[in-house]
Amino acid sequence: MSKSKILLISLATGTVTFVAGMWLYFSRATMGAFEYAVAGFVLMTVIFGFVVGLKKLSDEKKGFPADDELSISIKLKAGAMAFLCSFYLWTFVMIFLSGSNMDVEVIIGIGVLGMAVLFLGFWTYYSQKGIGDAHSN
Amino acid sequence: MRTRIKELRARDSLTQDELARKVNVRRETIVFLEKGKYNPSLKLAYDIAQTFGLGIEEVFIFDI
Repeated sequence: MSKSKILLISLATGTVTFVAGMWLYFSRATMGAFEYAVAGFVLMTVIFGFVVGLKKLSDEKKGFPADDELSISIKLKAGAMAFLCSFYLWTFVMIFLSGSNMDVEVIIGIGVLGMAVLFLGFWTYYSQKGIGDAHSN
Repeated sequence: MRTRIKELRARDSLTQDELARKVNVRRETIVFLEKGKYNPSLKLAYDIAQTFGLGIEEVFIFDI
């Protein structure tokens, strides 16, 4: 993995952690179960990304490539499945949350976070199960 | 599709790590190939077969 890529990933992880930390700090007085759940999901996503990044770096030091044809195929398939399932997720969000008294930003945040969680779920599933033929469904 | 990778690795005293480095993939890819959970690209199949000094059809066996 190139140094610029490592820097970019570290910057993105740092920014997400910083923004989530600031949000938690300023809204700690009014935080309820929902806010704690969102914070938990954000934290889980950041930790997951951090652990995967560290593993890739350690593999590279051992002489393995950071990505190969299987890992790229798993990433693509997980992304495609998360995108497909997000249609159902956004339909659910539109039906059940748009009529509620939640702010639009919060509703969009739930949708985006849900997509990230879907991707992580599919990525973990295919990383364990394998994907059979790389060029088929 | 079945593969003879495990058997050929044992013949050549190669570990999964060593084979992975030789064909420039991650170790997990070799694990999935040996378990039959991943069908490789033609290039990877060729590289693996070349590592063992065999043809693709001698390493990867298609059960039709």
